Order: sequence, then C-alpha cells, then structure tokens
Amino acid sequence: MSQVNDLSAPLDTQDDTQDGTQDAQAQPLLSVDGLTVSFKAGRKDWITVVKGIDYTVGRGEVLGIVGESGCGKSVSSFSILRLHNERTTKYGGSIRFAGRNVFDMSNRELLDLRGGDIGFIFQNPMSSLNPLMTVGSQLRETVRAHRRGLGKDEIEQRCLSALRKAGADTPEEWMGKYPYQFSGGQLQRVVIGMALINEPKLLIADEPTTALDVTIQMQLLKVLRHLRDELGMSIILISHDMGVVAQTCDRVAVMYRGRIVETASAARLFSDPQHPYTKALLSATPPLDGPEPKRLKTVADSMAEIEAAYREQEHKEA
Amino acid sequence: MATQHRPILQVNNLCKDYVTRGFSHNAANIFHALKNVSFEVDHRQTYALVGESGSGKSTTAKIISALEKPTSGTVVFDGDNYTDDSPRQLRRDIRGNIQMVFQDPFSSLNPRKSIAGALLEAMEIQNVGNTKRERLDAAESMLERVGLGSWALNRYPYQFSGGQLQRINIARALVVEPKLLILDESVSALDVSVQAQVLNLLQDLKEEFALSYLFITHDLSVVRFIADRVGVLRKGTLVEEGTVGEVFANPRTDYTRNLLDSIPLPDPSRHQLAG
Repeated sequence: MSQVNDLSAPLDTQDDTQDGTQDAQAQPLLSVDGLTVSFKAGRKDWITVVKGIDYTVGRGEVLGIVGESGCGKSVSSFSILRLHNERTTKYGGSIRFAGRNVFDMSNRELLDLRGGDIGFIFQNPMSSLNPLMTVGSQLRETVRAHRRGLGKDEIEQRCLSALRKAGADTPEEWMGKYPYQFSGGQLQRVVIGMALINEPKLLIADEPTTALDVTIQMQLLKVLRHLRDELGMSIILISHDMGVVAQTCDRVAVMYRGRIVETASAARLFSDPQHPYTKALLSATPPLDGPEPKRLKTVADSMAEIEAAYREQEHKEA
Repeated sequence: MATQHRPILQVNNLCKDYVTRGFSHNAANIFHALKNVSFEVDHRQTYALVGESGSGKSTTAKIISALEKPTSGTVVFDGDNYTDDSPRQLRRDIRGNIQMVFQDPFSSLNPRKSIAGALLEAMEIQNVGNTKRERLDAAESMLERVGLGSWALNRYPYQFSGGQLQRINIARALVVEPKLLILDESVSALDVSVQAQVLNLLQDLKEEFALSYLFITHDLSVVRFIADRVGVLRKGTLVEEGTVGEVFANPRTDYTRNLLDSIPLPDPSRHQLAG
C-alpha cells in the first residue's frame, strides 16, 4: 500500500494505445498482489475476508473467478474499484490497473475509473437501475459524467451504439422506456450497455447471468465473448457455475475461504484439476451426459482433503 | 383397487386465464397462463416440470397445491377430484397430503417464529401427534433426518444459512407426513455443493417415506439426476413429455433441443458460444 508511483503512472497508461497482444505478457492490464480485505466487526475486531490473493488479467483476456457464496469472490472484485465503505474496510496489498495502484488514487480519480476505464455489471439488473428514470436518461448521464463537452447528438449516438453492442434489437425504442417495461434478460443487456458506454478496458461481471433463463444466459455469454473478440476488452467473470466459466473464460481462478486455491487455463482446470476443492466442485454438478450417478459427491465428502490442502497453502504463505 | 394403475396425481386439461384490466373497464386483457395441460405423477415417482420463466410452471404448482383455482380442468389426488373442494375439505383431505417447498428458503419461514414453532404449527393444523411432547419428538427426529438436530429447534431463521434453511423447509413439509411433495425451484438458489447435498437428501427421503415428487425447475442438469419423467412447458402449453432418458436423448421439439443445448457444459473443448 505504501508504494507511491503517481509520477510513473501517466507514462504507463500511454501503452494502452498500442496493440495489446504483445505486451499482454509483459505488463498485464490488471494485477492484484497480496490483496487482503478486512471488515470491521466490532470496536476493535476486524474479520479478514480475503486473505492475500494474487492474480493478473491480461489485455483481451477473460478471467473467471469461481467459488461458493462467502468465499470472497465478490468482495475481492468490489475492491478493484474500492466500492466497500472505506470507514469499515481495511485493504492490504496492491491492485494495479494499467500500472497504477488503485489504493493510491484520490476520490476524483476513482470516480473517473468507475464506469470509465472499468465497467461493472452486477447480478441483479433491476437493482442497478433507477426505476424512476428512463433507460435513455440513465445512459446519457453515464456518458456525461465521464465525457464532458460532448454534443447532444454525439451522446445519443454513443448510447445507441452501446446498446447495440450489448445485443439490443431496437435501441431507439429502449431509450424511452422505464426499467419495469423490460424483461430480466433485456435489463441485463441495458446494464451491459451502460458498462460499455465509455469503452472500458476492463469489464467486471459479477454473476451476470445467474438470475436468467438458460437460453437468455447463452445469448448474453455470446455477447460477452463478442466484446472480447471484437473490441479486445478484458473481462473478469465471477460465477459459481462451472459450465458458464468453462464456456466463457480463458483462465480460471478457484477461490475457497478467502484464498485462491488454484489458477489454471480453462482447458487444464477442467481436464486435470489439481486442488481437491476444484475436484469436489466439478463432481458436485450433476452431469448432462455420460453415466448417471446414484448420488452426487459433495464438497463435504472430501472436506478433510480440502482443509489439509488449504492449511498447507496457508502455512506456505505465512 | 379396480384398476391396477392409479397415479397419485392426475392433472387433466388444466387451463388458467388471468384477466388484467386497464383504467377503462372495457379493455380487458386475457392472459392464458396455462392451456390444456395434462400429466400424471405415479406413486414414488419424480415428475419434473421444466420451462423458462413465464412458462406456467409455478401456476401449475399453485393450482395443484390448491392455492389457486383453475379456469377449467381438474386435479385429482389419489382418485379424489379436489378441484372444487371447499377450504375445509381441502384442509382435511389435501393440505396434509400435498406439501410444498419454495425457491427462497428465507421468505418461506416466519422470521419471528422459532424453528420448533414453525414445525409444531404445521403439525397442529394437520392434527399430527396427540400431545405437544409427541409433536416435539417428531419435529426433532425429522430435523435430525434432514441433517440438523435438536439444537436447531429453538433457533430463528436468520441464524441459518440458505442450505440449512432449505433443509428446515423440507422438514417442515415432511412432518405432516404428506404423500406428494411439490418442489418449486427448491434447489435453484443454492450453491452447487449445497445443492448436491440437498438433492442427495431428497433422493434418500423419497425412498424412506415413499414419497412422490413434483419437481419444478429450469435447470435441466438437475432434472436428469433426480427425475423419472419430465414435461416441458412453453408459454402455458406442455410441448413435450416423456421419460428423462427419452427426452434427453431424442427431444421431439426444437424448443426442448434448444433448451438442452443452452446449458453451459463444464467442458471448454466443446465450444458452445461459437457462431
């Protein structure tokens, strides 16, 4: 947290304009090092929820973070934008976005980052939109907050093209409607459009399809893949669904009790999982083809193994 | 009985219309939530009803559990047509035999009532057990059966996790000794590994208490694991029906095929998002 690198920051960000493929290895877009997040639990008590995690996201890469509820996947992702209440949260380690540590940023800089270079999609689209404003006015507000001095027509064009990229069929019509007039899948498209509107370099999607039907989920996953393939956007996809992650991500990090227990390419993680927890998660999903199991294996079945591996890692990191 | 085959539940030509009126009274909009839905659930069988949101799955469940009256059609439980029964008749003959477990485990329990309170109330209404002591014992052994214990009796819903609460809801449904359990998206809100535990539990309980399940879900991978027969609902119509093996191997409609193809497989080498 102590390193100050404000001076070098503007130089680093210039690299963004270059083609990302080559320096994806050299300098990742986002690198999280030893991140810890603690919440205030009493007058002097702090609970550490994220216990030192490291990961990187390259340019144009889709990183999946999987784990069960309470493992810290959302908490760590909210930390990238410092969305937790600062008075009751303690951060440790560093999160560098395009070379700059977000923990050294001022509030002003953070405001520019949120919805500017980093877009965020939450699980429930209904609660991320204002029910009393039309979708259009909310989209225009997002543009105006980040790009001052744009003309009316330009703002309108940006909104429409963002909606189109998110897969809206009639964006002109959508602009004049209120959130309640949309279905869940359409609303999630609006929210994705809003996250895209300022052409972010990184999109963080926290369980974006959990509340949706499978057919709609498939369409939205295609939209996400398209954003990466066509626009070179980096994406962090948080999910508890192993199927979603397998189909969408290049690399996957598995989280368990505040730690990343395994990181691997999607191909390797699913064909050859190393950590007992990853194995347990995979076998807990009822299979769609092949032999039908009489009983499903659960995480509880291999708890001893998982805890042993977890403790070993804890010991190593301490 | 006279016939050798009598299903535990028969749903015959069920229709349900909802009428929405605008501000002007002439403009009535009729929404057909269910159109001529018929199926049967056999004894000790699990029948899965699948479909997307708005397809009428929950409406069907509500009509079967007599929380709602159909516009036309009948529901028959073990030979007894209870479609037009009075509330008193329903309470006597149906409510104790058909129980329901809902999707959201938190909102289906009264937050101000202890777990013992919730279970005892259900038993008192259905006249299960003669004394309070007897009922408490039944509640305790049922909680143990679902993987909790007597320690849970005097606690309140907020002190449990979602998976534990869903076990409590299952226990609450089973203490009145029903024959048919309607599970309306009961495992959809749970994490995969907790979901696996609850699914295993449901399989065991089915054997032990000779239960039949009507399992309502949008998740086809769960259907394959738990169900014997499956019906696919689309916009209020039952478009396909058959054994799980048949439907999964050879879906007859494009809709079912599309539904099956939309499940993301945990196998990155099968590129479902391409094209």
